[in-house]
Amino acid sequence: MLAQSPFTYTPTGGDWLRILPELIVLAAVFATLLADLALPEGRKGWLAAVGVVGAIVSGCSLVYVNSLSGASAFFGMITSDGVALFAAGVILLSLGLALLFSPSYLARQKIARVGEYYVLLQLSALGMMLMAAANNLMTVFVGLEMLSLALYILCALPQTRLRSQEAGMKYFILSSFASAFLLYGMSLIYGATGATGIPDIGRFLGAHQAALSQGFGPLLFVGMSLMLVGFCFKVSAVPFQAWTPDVYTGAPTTVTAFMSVGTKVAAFVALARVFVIALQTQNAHWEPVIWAVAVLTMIVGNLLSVTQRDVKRMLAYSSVANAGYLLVAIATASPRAVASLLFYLAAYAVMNIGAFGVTLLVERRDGRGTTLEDFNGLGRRNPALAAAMAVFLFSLAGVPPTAGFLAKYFVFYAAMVGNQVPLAIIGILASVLGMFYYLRVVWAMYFVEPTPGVRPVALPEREPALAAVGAAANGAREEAPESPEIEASSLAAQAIPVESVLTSVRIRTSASSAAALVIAVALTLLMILFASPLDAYAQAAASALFH
Amino acid sequence: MPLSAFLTVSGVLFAIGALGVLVRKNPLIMFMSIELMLNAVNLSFMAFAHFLDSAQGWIFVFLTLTVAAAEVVVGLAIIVSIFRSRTNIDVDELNSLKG
Repeated sequence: MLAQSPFTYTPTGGDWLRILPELIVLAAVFATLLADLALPEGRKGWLAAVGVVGAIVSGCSLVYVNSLSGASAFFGMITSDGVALFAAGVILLSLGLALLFSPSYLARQKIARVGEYYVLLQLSALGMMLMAAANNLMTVFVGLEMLSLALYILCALPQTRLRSQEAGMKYFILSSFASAFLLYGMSLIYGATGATGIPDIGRFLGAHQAALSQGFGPLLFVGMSLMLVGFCFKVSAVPFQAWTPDVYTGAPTTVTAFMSVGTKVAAFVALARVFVIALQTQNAHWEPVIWAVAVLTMIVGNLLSVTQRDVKRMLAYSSVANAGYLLVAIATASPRAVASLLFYLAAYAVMNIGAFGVTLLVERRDGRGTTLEDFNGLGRRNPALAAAMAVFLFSLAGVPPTAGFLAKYFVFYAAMVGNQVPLAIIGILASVLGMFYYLRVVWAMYFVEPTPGVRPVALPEREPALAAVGAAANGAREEAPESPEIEASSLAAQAIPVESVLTSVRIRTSASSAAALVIAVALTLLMILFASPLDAYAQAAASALFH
Repeated sequence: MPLSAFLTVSGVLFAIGALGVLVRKNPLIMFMSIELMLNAVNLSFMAFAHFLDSAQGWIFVFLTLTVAAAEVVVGLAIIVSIFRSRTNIDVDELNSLKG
């Protein structure tokens, strides 16, 4: 077959148009590389602006790609269907927010190689978009590796900080280990079905149910299990979650914020495509396994979060717990469940990046200082920041009317309707447990006196806009007086000379952090307003996936 | 040779690699073990591509090889970077992150 008909495929203009969002991000990467050469040291923060513009333009192009008829591109390797576009939108939003937080954080943490940082962050976003748009196991693998390779380097970027180096190494070894499992699974599924295209695998399995009971059955089942191991690792599901807290704690916090969201979006969309779509007919075999993994992940993730004293590490464990809720949607495996998965990912992106964003503003210059004690009395020292954090934590805990509540509601509702009532009940109980550790931070911020001596340093200057949003969000909280003495005394405590240059940089760049926080707070609180069109789009995209 | 022979060799290689990652302490050796796993996968892809008479497995092997090469670059860079600051890369001593 191969020898007789030489294979040719010429990409048409339509193919290139369907990967327009990805191409725009790639163009922004090149623009960042060039701008890095042109900008003098100390003004590298503007590289973030290049990336943000790229993300916004790419986001706008999603609307255009959505209007194109048909989705498959490049011989079915990539698809630009609704699911891919929705995921790309979430990834671009996360990228934009992470980029806005970056300049002041990088300056404060004295991270060198700022140019590489921005390039790699955008490249990993490109890999995530590719993985979410993948319609073939090959593209899944290439997208996964593209996002992982960039993230390995980003984790280990602060070269003088051993914790980051360690995080990079752990992530690298364990993630490549998991990739090998995933790849072996892909190989065996290819062997069993003779196809690597996700729709092709589904078609083959639908047509050859009988053949599977003979020779090729075991191949398929071993392949499925190996792929599941690989995916569970990537989405940090229990029992493959051990790397998550270490890597998330050691990596620079902006990177943690971005990877905790972006990798989940990409990996869960790919997981949904491979298991819910390609292996749809094998549902009876994988559904109990994912059911068990989801229950374990929800329970263990929430239990371990309760024991954490460090907020950054607590958020890392909470991302494990959130992976559990997302797995509930995978186990339910209905169009409605896939739509709720997409909605959850969107809500999770906003609230989680926001929570990490506040954490990175509280963080000290040495990359520490994110324990619960450091949040003590934040409500008095910086009311706007505390109010924003409270919004994100209430949303993560699932308190109405925040985005997090709607997301949980959609996931558990889909599970109830889709005959997964026990799973939904366990999920609801687990998220009640989750409220404890989220609200403990809120308690520390508002009802505990600031610990003398360990007050967090280098809080950004309060922004009027942020204060307004914070006040609105918080209802009765009144404007507190400016507190320049905290800034001064903490700088003195750290024995860092107050340089006028440094200060001016901080003031300018903290405006971008404040902008990111305002956007995240606004989206978290107002998602309820555009929840129904968003959910309708996700529903349409998910049902199209099933045909 | 039958397909099962190739698959057996590939499975054994993969198991050796996985075992190597789990029991060895030196990141370089762990890293080599991961490469062994990837090559075991390549072998199975080649075998399937040959017996199914389909080109997709071969293309997959090219992609895997390219990605493995990129991984070598990144992985060795991280290992060198740690070695510079510690002169010791034993994974048991990389334990500042826990809890």
